[in-house]
Amino acid sequence: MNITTWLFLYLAGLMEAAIRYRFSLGDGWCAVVIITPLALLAMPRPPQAFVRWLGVLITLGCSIAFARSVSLDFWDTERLDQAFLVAGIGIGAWLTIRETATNTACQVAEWLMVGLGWLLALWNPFAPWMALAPAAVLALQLQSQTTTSRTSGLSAAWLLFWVGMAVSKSWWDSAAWGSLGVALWALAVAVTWLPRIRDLRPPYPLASLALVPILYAWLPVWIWAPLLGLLTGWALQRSARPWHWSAGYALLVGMLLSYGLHSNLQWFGLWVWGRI
Amino acid sequence: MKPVRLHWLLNCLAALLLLGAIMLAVGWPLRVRVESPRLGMPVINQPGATMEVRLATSVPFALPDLRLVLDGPGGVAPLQLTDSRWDGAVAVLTVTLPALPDGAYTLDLQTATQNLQLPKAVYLRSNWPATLRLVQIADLPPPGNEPLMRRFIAEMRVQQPDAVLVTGDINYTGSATNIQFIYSQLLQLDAPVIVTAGNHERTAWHQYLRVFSARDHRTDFGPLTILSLDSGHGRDALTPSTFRWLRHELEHLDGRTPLVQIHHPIFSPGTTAVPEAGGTGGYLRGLRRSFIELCQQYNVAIVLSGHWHQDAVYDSSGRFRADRIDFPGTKFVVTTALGAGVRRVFADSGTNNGYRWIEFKGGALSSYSSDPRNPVPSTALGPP
Repeated sequence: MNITTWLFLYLAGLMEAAIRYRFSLGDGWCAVVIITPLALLAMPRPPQAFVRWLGVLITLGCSIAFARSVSLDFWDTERLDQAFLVAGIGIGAWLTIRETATNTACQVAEWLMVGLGWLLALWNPFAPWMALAPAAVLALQLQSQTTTSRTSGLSAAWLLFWVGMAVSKSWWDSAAWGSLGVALWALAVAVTWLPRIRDLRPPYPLASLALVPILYAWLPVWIWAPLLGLLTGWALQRSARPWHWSAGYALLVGMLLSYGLHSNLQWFGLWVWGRI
Repeated sequence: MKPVRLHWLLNCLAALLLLGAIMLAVGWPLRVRVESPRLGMPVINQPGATMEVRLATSVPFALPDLRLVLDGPGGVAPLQLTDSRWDGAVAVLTVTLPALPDGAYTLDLQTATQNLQLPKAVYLRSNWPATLRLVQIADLPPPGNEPLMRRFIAEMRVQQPDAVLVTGDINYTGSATNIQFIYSQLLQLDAPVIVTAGNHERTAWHQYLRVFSARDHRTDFGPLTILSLDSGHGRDALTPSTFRWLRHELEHLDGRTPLVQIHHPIFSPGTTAVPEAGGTGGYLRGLRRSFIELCQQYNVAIVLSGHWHQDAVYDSSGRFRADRIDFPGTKFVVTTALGAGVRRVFADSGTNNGYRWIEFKGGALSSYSSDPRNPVPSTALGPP
């Protein structure tokens, strides 16, 4: 998985938190401020190389300031100063993403970092965004190890879209469950990079049962998330290379679509297990 | 070890160190936030019993030196720590309630940098009467209707119920001044206040969490256990984790009679009851059948809801019941709005309370009328 996809993962989580705290387009300036970095994501031209460190510094500063402002408190989505900090996180992540466009795939250590970063949410629901800065630093480190060998395989964009659809399923229940789900998922992906497990050839039709939660059939998160992580990890290792950074968009779209479908629309076939 | 692997390991180590430094930058100096008990989630117990104080900390698994004190009209006494543990990243301190006279007490928490006061967080109560009288309100007055809230508080100061249950939609507009007004009014009650969230709390979720912090929570109240559920997240459903929590609590009642309060009514209003004029008439959808089965299995006496601004009573099959009070099984009761103007809440009485009395005798439900003089529970009236 491209490291920039992590940043998309964290940004998607940040947007989900905004929705949970009732961020609304009707919030005026706050909406403008937060949406601006999202619009930046669509800009095609990458910035100059020196900007990458600026991106890391902005991410670091804003994530610390935001985490401090909501530490032992809660996010007031109508506060302009907090909106600026969130926008800063988004802009910093964007600069970093643009500078680490097609780097090498992550391996076990990076996946452990993702998992540990999300486990921080058990301490504070906003804590995972503190892990954005180390992620950005790692992204710069990995940039120097870019591999460009081409291999054919599964479409990374489609794969990440479905991962996005599945991985956010537990989020609608509670913030802690959502973060725990992502953490367990990432740790399970890390496991698939271990040498003996990496070489396994799982029966994909059977393993794809881990995608069942897409249909909103609830499974305990500590069973479902690792299963999905194993499936994701095996599939990622057989995906086409190199990855384009824009595959991260697919993850983002999948997560947002999933959250939208399951938040309150109650579409047929996407209901809670047990709904009458 | 290959150089490449060493490089990755160093990267990972550097990132972890950076993460640790950031956590310190965020959480230093050490601070805490009292999650419970507080007004809305009080502890009600006798001197000598133990209670749990749950604290969120600014740095995970780091608790500053602190002192807990109970302060009230009956006196001031420090709380003796008997045990401590971590529930996830929340510190759970078990303390012994001191030998002070019965009454409401403020929980004081002092650290080197903080002095937190949580009024009416703890109620000492040595004896429980044979008859317990609870009052339920829901859908509290929005800005402009403050006199309704003041009138309710004045009535309760005369009537002196044993507890007041607030079943959601506390802060209609989401304004900080409104929730502070409601909080200041509830603070004037002598009885413990037990709160659950409604859908309007999500309008300003951070304010609700700051003031009440009450999501799914349990209050043991003499022979009763009051289980407050959060259904106000916009999905008209119990979430799996809430359902799981409810089942766990019902499995550990210790002989108490369970009572559930949840903002959303359980059943569809159907044709017999007309929901809030202009509103959605929302009701519980996800996990409803399982919820009803759980209520039957554990003999839940009554499930109290609001949301519709309308009175109604249903039995476990979802049948509208206005015929008699003592039909078998759990009573699923919807209570009108306290803050939506004066409306008749009874077909056959002239009272305009906007709230409901729930009476237990010897731990068994004996009445759930809007009018304590009238045994008939309630009748749906249609729009105001």
